[in-house]
Amino acid sequence: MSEPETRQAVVDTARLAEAIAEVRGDAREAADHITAVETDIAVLRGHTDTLLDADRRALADRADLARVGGARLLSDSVVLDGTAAERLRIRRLRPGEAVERPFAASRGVTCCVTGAADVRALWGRLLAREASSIDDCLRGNPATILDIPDASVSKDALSTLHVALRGERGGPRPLGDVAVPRFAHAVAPRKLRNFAHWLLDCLPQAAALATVAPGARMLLPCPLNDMQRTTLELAGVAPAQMTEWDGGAVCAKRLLIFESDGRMGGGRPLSPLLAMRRRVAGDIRPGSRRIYVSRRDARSKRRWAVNEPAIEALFASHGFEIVCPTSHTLADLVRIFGEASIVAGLNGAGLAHIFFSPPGTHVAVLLTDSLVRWHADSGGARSLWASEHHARAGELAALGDSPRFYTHVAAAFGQPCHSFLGADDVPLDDLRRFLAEVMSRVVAQ
Amino acid sequence: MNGLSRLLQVIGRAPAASAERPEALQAAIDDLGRAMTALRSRVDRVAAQLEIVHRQIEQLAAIRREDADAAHRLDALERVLDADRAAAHIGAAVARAERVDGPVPYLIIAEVLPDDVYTAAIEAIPPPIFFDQSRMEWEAVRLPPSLAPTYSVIAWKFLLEVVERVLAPALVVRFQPWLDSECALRLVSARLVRRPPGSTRAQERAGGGIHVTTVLPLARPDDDDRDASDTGTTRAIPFRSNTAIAFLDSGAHAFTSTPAIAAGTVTRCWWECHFGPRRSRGRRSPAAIDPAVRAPQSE
Repeated sequence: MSEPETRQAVVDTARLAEAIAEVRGDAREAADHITAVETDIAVLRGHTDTLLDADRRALADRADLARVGGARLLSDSVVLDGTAAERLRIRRLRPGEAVERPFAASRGVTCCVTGAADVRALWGRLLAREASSIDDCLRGNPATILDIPDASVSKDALSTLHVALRGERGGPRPLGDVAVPRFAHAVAPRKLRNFAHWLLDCLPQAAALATVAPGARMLLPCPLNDMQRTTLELAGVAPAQMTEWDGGAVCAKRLLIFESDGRMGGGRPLSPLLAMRRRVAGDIRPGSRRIYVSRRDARSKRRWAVNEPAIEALFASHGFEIVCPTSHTLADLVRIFGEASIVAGLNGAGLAHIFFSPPGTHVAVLLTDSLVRWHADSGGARSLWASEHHARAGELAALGDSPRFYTHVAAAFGQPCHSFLGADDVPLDDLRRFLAEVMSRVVAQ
Repeated sequence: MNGLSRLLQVIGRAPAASAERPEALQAAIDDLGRAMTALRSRVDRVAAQLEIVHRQIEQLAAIRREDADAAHRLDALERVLDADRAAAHIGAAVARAERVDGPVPYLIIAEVLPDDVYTAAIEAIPPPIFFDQSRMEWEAVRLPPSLAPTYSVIAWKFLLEVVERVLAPALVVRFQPWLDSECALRLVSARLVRRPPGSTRAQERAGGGIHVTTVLPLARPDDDDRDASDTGTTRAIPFRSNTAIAFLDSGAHAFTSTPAIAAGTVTRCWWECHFGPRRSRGRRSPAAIDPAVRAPQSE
C-alpha cells in the first residue's frame, strides 16, 4: 500500500470509528425509545386485559340470565318471567369480594370428656372430617344481586319470587328503587326469629342491598319484631325504608333482588357477613371484659346443660360477667361484647354476639351430649356432617352447620375458639381445668 | 444524514478485509452488530405485544359492535330455538342415519338439525377475531366461547345443551355393538374450527378418552359441496349443508377428526363435538374392536 493510500486508510478508519460511535449513540437512543414503547404497551395491555376479563364475566352473567329456555340463576327460589331479550337488561351485581379465612389458626383448646360412646364417636367423626377437608380454609364468594329495570315482583304460596320483566301497564304507579332480600320469601319464620340465623345469615343480605341501593325501599317479612327492626337499622336500613310485605305484586322502576349469598358448601355467607361486620362493628380493639353468655332464658329443651347455674358460678369465680342477652338492649350488647377479651357459653344463639367482638377475642364454646345428638338427628343441613355416607373430603365450610358452628364463625372473625364437650350434667372439675388452660392463653395474649 | 447512513457510506470506502482493520475497530463493529441484534429482538417482542393488544382491542370492539342489536337478535333466536323440537329432530336424524361399518364405523347424519336451527348455528359463528389464530393451518374456538358476542354465546350454549341431552344417547344406540348399551356418553368438549383461505389440509388426533367425534360442516347455501372431506379412512364426504359425520374412535389408533375441506381458496367452518364416557365401565377395550376396522395412524 502506497503512503497516500495508507494515509487515506487511516483517515477512513478514523471516520469509520466515528461513524460507529455515532450509530451506537443512535442505537442507545432507539433502545430508550423501545423501552418507553414497551412500558406504554405494558400499560395498554393491562387495560385491555382488565377490560376483557370484565367482558368475560359480564358475558357469562348475560348468557346465564338471557339463556334461551329460561334464566339460569344462582337461586332456585327466584323465577324471571320474560323473554331472553328482556332478561338481557338485567345486570348481576357482586358487592364485596371473595373471602378466604384460615381455620386452624383459630382453633384453640379442644377438650372432650363425655363418657357417652355415641357422642364420642360422632365427635371423632366430625374432627376426622375436619382434618380431611380439602384444605384449611373457609371460603365465601361475593353475594350476587339482580339489578332489574322496570319490573314487578310478587311471591307465591311456595315462597318462590316471581319477577315480571315487563312493567305493569295501567297498574299502580311504580315505586322507585325496591330491594328484596332472600329472607323476605325463602326463609322459614322460625329461623328468622333465631337471633344467630338472623344476624349471621339474613342481615348480611339487607346490608349488601343497602350498599348497592342505599335509599331503596326494602320488602321485608311480615311482621317484623323489635330485634329485627333494630338490627336492620344497624345494617344501614332506615325505618322509613322498611316495608313489611305480604307478597303481593309491587312495581318498581329499579328492582334489586338478592340472588345468592355466596356461601361455599355450607356454613355462613362469609363475604357479605364480613362486609357487614366491617360496616357495623368498625375498627374495634380487644378489651378486657370476660363475658359468660347465659342460656337461662332459652326454652327448657334447648338449654343443653342441666347444671347451668353451677357453670355460671364457676365462670363468675373466674371474673366472668354473666350476661343474659334478652335482659339488655342491643346498644348495650354491642358495647359489652365490643369490650370483651373472652366470650364463653353453651352453644346457642347468644354466642352470635361475638359478631360485635373484636378480632383476637377468645371464644369458649361448651357442648353437651344432648346438643351433639340434636345436631346429628335433626335432619337437613345441620346433620349432614353426621352421615356415614357423607365421608368424602370437601370444603371445610360444609361443617359450618355442625356442632363446630361457632368455631367456624369465630374463625371467620379472627377469634381463637376453644371447645369443651361433656355430659349434660357438665363435669365441673373437667370444665375448671379446661377454663384454666383457656385463660392461660387469654392472659398470655 | 443519520448515523447509519453515514456509516454505510464510510464502510463503502473502508478496508474490505477485517484483517486489515485495527483490532479495536473490528471489536467495535462486532459490538455494534450485537447491539443491533438485541435491538431487533426487542423490536420483534414489541411488535408481538402490539399485535396482542391490537387483537384484544379488535375483540372488545367486535363485542360492542355485535352486541348493539343483541336484544333484537335474541328475540329472533328465541323464536327458533325450541329445545324439544330440536331434540326430536336430532334424535330422528341419528336414528335414520346411514351407518358404514368399515374401515372404521361412522354415521352420515343428513339433516341433523332443523333448517332454521342450522341457520342460527351458522349465524352464531363468532367473528374471526375470536378464533385462536396461533396455528397456520386452521383456527379454532372452544364452545361455548368464553369471549364472543352475547348472541353467539347464548346460541352455542343452547346447541350444546341439546346435543348433550339428545345426540350423546342416540349415538350410543347407533354404535352398538362397538359401544355397549350401558355406556353413557357425555360431551367432553366442542369447538368450532375455521380454515382460512389458502391454508392446506388440517388434521388432528382425537384426544384420549374420546369415544365418538361428530363433525358438522357449517356450510352456507352457496358453498360448493364438491369440496369433499377426506378423513383418510372413510370415503370422501361432501362438504354438505347440515350433514354431520360421526366417527367411532378406535382406541389405540387416533382418528382423524378434522376433515380437509375445499381447495384452499375459501373459508370453511365446521363444528366438532367430542364425546367420552360418563363412567369407565361403559367402554369396550380397544381390543374388542376388530383390528381390521381400526383407523390408520393419522399423518
